[in-house]
Amino acid sequence: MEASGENGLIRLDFEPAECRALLRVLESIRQAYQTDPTNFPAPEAAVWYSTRGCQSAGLNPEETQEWVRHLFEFRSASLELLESWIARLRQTKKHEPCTLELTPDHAPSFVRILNDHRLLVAARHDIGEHEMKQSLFRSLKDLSAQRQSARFEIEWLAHMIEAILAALPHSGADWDRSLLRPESD
Amino acid sequence: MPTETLPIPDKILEGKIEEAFEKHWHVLVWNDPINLMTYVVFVFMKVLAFQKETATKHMLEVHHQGKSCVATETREKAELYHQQLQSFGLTVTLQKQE
Repeated sequence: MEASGENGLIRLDFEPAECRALLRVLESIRQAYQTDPTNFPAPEAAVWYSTRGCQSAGLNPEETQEWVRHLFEFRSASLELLESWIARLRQTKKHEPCTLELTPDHAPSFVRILNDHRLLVAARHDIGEHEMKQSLFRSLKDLSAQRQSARFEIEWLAHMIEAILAALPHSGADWDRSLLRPESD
Repeated sequence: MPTETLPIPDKILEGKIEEAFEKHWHVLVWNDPINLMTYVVFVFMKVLAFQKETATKHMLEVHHQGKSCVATETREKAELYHQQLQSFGLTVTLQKQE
């Protein structure tokens, strides 16, 4: 995928295989955004609808429920945008590349949605610190076929998020990497 | 014609209002293995209106120390930040300053 800023828009150019994979991702996210939080499996609810913060704030069960409902409604509010992107990708023929153009206002939502999917896939397939600390190809050796696919997807979406943020003005994508200390372990 | 008077504020409601404006609530963002550093910087800039350097400083605190206090606010404002940051997929808790 290539991301570039053109005429005030963020242009995303995808290879044919990426188009199909992205369509599948967006359709999966659409379904998840339509799913009531009470119907989420526990590991996935723990990443999207964690109530740890509510507990730390001393919210009672009714307030916590309302808080979770607000989060669900916030995600649901992205459904119209999601549908427009899904419709655009569906217009593309099977073995052809495709393009999405995002306004600077919509690009943050697109990035957030992709990140939401990364979090969900990680929770669903128990991809955690151990798997993420290793390089992608090294981590595959220890993973089942399903978890390998999940790890690939998480990495691929990371690349996409980084590329979009690099093309989005004032996103902070050019933060100073020299400040990052080497890992000590 | 019967006259209507304003209801006397409920003691519970008064308590809630007082609670909302209670000061010195810390907003803590915790490390996780999935969220990208670049993404965290972006979210801090977007939600908390940090400049890039401040966002980077807090992101690196999260990365190296496991957590960062990104704001200390009234309870109401802290709860708003909590919801906004978590809606972007970050792990957030609130803590009353002691």
